[in-house]
Amino acid sequence: MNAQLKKGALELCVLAQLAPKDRYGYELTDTISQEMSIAAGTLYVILKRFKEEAYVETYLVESPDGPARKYYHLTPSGHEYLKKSLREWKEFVLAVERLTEN
Amino acid sequence: MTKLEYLTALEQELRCFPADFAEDILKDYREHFRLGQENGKTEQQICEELGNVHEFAKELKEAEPDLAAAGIRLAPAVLPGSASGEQNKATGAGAADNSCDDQNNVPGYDCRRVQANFTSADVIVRRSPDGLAHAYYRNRGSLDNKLNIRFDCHQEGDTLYLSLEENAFQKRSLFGFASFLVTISKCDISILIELPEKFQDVSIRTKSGDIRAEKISAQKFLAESFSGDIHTDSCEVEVMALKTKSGDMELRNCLADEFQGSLLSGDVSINSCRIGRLNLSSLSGDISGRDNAISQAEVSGTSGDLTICGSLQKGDLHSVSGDISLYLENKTPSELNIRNTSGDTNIRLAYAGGLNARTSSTSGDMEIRYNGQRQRASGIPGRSLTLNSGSEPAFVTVKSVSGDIRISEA
Repeated sequence: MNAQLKKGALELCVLAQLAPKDRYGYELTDTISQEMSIAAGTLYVILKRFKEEAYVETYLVESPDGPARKYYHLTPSGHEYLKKSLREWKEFVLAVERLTEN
Repeated sequence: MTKLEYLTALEQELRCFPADFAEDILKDYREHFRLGQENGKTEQQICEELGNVHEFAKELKEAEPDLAAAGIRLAPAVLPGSASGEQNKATGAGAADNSCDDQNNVPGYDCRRVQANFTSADVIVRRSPDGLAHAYYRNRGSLDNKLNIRFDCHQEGDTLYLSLEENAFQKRSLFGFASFLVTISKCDISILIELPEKFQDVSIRTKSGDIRAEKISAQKFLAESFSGDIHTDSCEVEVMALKTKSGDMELRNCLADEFQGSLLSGDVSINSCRIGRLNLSSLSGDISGRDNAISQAEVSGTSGDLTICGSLQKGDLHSVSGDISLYLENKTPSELNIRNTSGDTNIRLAYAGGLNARTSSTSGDMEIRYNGQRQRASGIPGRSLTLNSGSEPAFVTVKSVSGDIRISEA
């Protein structure tokens, strides 16, 4: 699958995973890389970009058994971006299906 | 790959980003390792799962080009578990580290001098397109090699300092045992230095590694390598000083008021150059000059051959066992003083205005031919020949012990 497409889809997946609840980095990358073979590094690039764009916020939670864990939280503008991306994705998938109907 | 190797490599790749941005990412990665290991994965597995460090950095630079360009970097942060307790070291105002391959991230320096000291790197110095100095660094070596080399580039006053340091400390901490020799193969590291025209001083030193300069104009140009070759092409300098121990030297199309060259075993080749004063010393390599215009030459070769074709006004040429062959094209009278212990000397002059020649050889044959006159001596020990002809003669003196001597018109 071509890289651009995969990247776009991946962004959508990250946003969608963060929508229902905040997650910490490892949990997110682990869940997604179970469904598709992706270098966890790529996910960190996406998370970093989302943070720069303020779609995502991070906060630390102290843990009794080790260093603080970093959690990712989807901001309101992140939710908006998720809605928009999901819509675009669905439209795109339908268009491809229509064009490939034989 | 171990976790420490991975994180160190990542940290190196992130050096073009601002410190807090990079640190943020490193924190994420450290956490990923920690949690992965808690879940029973090995360091090796986690490294594979995280993916290629260089690819990651590339994607990150594409995703955040502004940040990549803005990075001003200090010396690498000390990773947990490393033996050295060094703090981050600021390398001075305007410190920048250019280990990114992406040339858009490299700052330009407004400076008049450059001083570069490298352990092992091929260096190219060329003219800068934008009036500022730039330095680019590329390390194609193995990971071990990459982890232990630090490229430093910083400006102090009007001088740009460039250096490569091998980080012995970090090496010890990585592998946990006493230091051992690391051989860095010659072509792993390349450094490109771009300098504006009419520069003041250039000084490049490298232990092993070639140095190549193209289209440089400067007051002083100094290049020194232990085992590498030195090439200068189309450079215009007041003083050029080149030194190499076992490498070769080549000058092409250069203009220099003064040239000093010193070699041990390499060959020198000087072509199409205009040089005011040339001072060259070579131990065992050959010296060859073609199509040059040299005002004054002082050449001392030990066992290599010396061949000069071109114009030479004044020459003081010595050889121990190498042959000396001169084909002089200048239309003005030369003044040549030649001493060749056991090598042969052969001089041909295009100058037709006269010749005042004196030769002496203890056991070699001698012959001088000029304008119809001819002097010969062979098999007569301790003989000297003289020939005087013309009103504005070239002066040629040749002394040899066992070598033959031949002087003639071209």
